[in-house]
Amino acid sequence: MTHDELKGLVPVFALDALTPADEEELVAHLKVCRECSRLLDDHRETAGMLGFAASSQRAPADLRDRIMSQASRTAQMRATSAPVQQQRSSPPPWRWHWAGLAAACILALVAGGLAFLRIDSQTEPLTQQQIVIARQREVLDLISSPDSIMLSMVPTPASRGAEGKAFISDTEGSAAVVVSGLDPPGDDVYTLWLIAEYDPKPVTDFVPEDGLALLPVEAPVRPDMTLAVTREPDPGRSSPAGPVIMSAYRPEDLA
Amino acid sequence: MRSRTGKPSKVDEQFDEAELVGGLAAGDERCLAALYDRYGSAALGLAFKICGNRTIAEDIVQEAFLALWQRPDRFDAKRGSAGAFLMGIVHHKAVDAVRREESVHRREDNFAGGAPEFSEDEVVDAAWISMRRQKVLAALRQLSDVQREALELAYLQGLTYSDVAARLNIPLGTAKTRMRDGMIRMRALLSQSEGTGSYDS
Ligand SMILES: [Zn+2]
Repeated sequence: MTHDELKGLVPVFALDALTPADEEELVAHLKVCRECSRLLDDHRETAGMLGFAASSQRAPADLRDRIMSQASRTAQMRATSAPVQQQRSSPPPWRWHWAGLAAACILALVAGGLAFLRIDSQTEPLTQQQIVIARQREVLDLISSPDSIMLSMVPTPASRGAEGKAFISDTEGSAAVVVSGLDPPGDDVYTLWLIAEYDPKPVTDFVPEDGLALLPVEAPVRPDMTLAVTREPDPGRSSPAGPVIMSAYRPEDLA
Repeated sequence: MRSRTGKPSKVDEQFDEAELVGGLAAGDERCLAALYDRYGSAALGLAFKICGNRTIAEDIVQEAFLALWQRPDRFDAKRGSAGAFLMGIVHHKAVDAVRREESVHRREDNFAGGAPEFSEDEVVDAAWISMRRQKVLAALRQLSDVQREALELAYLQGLTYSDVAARLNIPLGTAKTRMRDGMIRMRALLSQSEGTGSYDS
């Protein structure tokens, strides 16, 4: 979809009236587009106001009681916290599956000499590539560390079956993204973005090897930030233009 | 945004809307109760209108208030009013319920005769809620018939734009355009009447 088409969906989205496929595509776009996000705020306000046009129904006292008693229970849960967060962290087998994929990336890099960071390596000397390998070994440690937080990258329809995980280490102040099943980008490149407050910053451009890529993020990924992979017509862009392939939002309460 | 009517309700006299939401974030249950007293009837009205079932509508309202209670940080006063935010949650949950539950009773005769579906009150509300309603109804009356029809089908029946297109036997693009233009017009009309006292046409 073009940007104008996506923007045109914003008021329809505010009415909760998009088809699931359109909604998925727009939601991915909203994570990287401040203009559309602001537009959505306005239209949500309007849609919310529409709700007042429906006739009221007397709000019963027992409903109020139910809400209040459940709220006091919920408040206590929130105060003692923890179990909610526990559910979100992933079982170890998954982590090892992705660590295995990451290891495969590194092997490919070592064996093939030239690998997924092809864009960098074309212009950079071999020693740079060795640095890349060393960096990615550190990433492997990060992935296998039980202290790191693992987030699933949520695919859009444009992902065509690709999957990804983000691993975030607060102690190291860094992260890594492992992606598998990506189509060859042809004349395009893939770009990984780190997004805070609708302000996407490019992390790296990359071309996957056999669909795989291991991408170090040498910056802290804090709560309320998003990691996103897009497909771009050219490398070195300072803001995304292409479709979002997958993204992971780090929720605020996943500290 | 704040209450702007000449005759505030009892709740209005006690709490400013921003204070209420601030109180929620601080875990003050009285603020949740005050929000229920203020918006409960409108929220229940909207949920009932969409799903046509009183029990389900009450569940939706309960979920919506609890969602706001659990994550008050999702609401940002800089981006809109708490009332519209809450109605947005109610709408989303009600539409979800309708799409999930085929068995939910839905009134198919809602749109017969082209009468406006967004309709006048049966219940006496706080003056400022009914004023807000009058303002929205007045704006709706200024839409073209096809725009209003598209908004009503989508918003109150929980139809997607492709359902709307099928129902009205119009192309997908036309359905999207009517909804988008209707929303843009509503947004302009509502922000225009912001702060003014009376706008009956
Ligand atoms: Zn946009």
